[in-house]
Amino acid sequence: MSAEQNLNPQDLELLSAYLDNMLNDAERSALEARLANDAVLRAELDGLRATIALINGLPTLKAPRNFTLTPAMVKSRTETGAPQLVKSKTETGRIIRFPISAVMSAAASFVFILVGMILVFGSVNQPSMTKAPAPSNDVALMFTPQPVTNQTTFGGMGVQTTDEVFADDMAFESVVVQENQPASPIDESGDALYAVPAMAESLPLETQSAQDVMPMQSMPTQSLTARIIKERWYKLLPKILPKPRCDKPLPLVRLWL
Amino acid sequence: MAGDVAQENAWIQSAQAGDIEAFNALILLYQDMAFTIAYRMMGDSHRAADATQDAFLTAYRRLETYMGGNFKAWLMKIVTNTCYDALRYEKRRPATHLDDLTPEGIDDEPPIPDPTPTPEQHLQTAELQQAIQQCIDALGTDQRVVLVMSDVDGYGYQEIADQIGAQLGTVKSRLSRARASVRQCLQAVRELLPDEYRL
Repeated sequence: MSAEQNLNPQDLELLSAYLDNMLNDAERSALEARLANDAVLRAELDGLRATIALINGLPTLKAPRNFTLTPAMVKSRTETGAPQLVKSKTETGRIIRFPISAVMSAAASFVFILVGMILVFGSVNQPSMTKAPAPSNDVALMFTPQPVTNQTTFGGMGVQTTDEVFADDMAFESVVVQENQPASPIDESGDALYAVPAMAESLPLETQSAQDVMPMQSMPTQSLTARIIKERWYKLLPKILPKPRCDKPLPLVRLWL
Repeated sequence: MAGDVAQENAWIQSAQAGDIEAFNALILLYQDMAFTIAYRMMGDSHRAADATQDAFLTAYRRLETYMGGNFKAWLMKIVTNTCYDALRYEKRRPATHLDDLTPEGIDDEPPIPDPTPTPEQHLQTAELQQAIQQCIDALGTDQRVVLVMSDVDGYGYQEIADQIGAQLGTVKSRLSRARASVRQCLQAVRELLPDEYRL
């Protein structure tokens, strides 16, 4: 008969604590009263006591070898006199190494995020330099969820929503595409959709469009470098992101632009 | 006895000053006890030896934290903690020890009790000791650690709770269940038990 078959865990815990003298006076008195009348409980107590004695009586073992430290295991004392160990095998194995691929990946991620932030904040915080009328070709429709109503959308307020900025930028791009590739149809792969000419060629058009639709006090403040980065970003982004399967722009594209 | 304590204190002071040989003298003094605790907790002589060596290295590194008192208790606490950390690590990342892959019969015998008894005594007690150890090994890690700390090392409930970071009630519960399990396990080898220990 095992103890677990005869006693519940609470009684076992009481008996174990009783043997370790870990019961308070009330608990001890109550248990001793039960022990006086319960032979099974007494048997369990004796069994537990014998078990403890057997475990406690296990002999001290002889070490299979000496565990003395050697000079190879122990480094010389530090300047303060405190002993210091050389690294054990385990500790040596924990040396953190940075593989070059991880470093390059982290650097590329940092640049990616930095460029994205420049584009996002450069577009949102600064007034857009180009306020060309919304193009009517497929290029503009592909990226513009609603027809852009040019300067009437933002006129006089000086604040643009993200959609408006998006529409403005696409309008600028569409003008450039129209100017440089007027006769090239858009192929099915969509590559032509994102063909952007060199910035040096587009600047006059851009400036002209902006002057046509914007007052002088709203002249562009965005740097040429930022514009170049943005245009190249527009060119690169469709190759990174999956192609949209509908006419509405992807939310991620809208967020980034 | 007083001379032994004075000698031990002298070794401790020398070791704290960086004398490795003085610390090695302390190791030789306590390595059997340290290995025994490690073996009771780990249940394997190879892992126990590794844990013992790690514990002595750790003790040497932390000698400056020893502020006097019972050096043996301080050292055995490091041994216990080292074994407990090793068991927790193995519990998180169970793997077969390389030494377990060696063919049976090659250096896998249970360690020899010290002092070594006569061959007759050894034959009479070896099976019983092995059976008790196997019953301890059959416990789960949590119960085994508490059982060894209490019934082999002699720690109190509160000391165990502090060392393993558990509540006092948890220690009481684990210990009672561990003792009951060992008792039940030993029922299978009643014939090996001395008359006074018949369960």
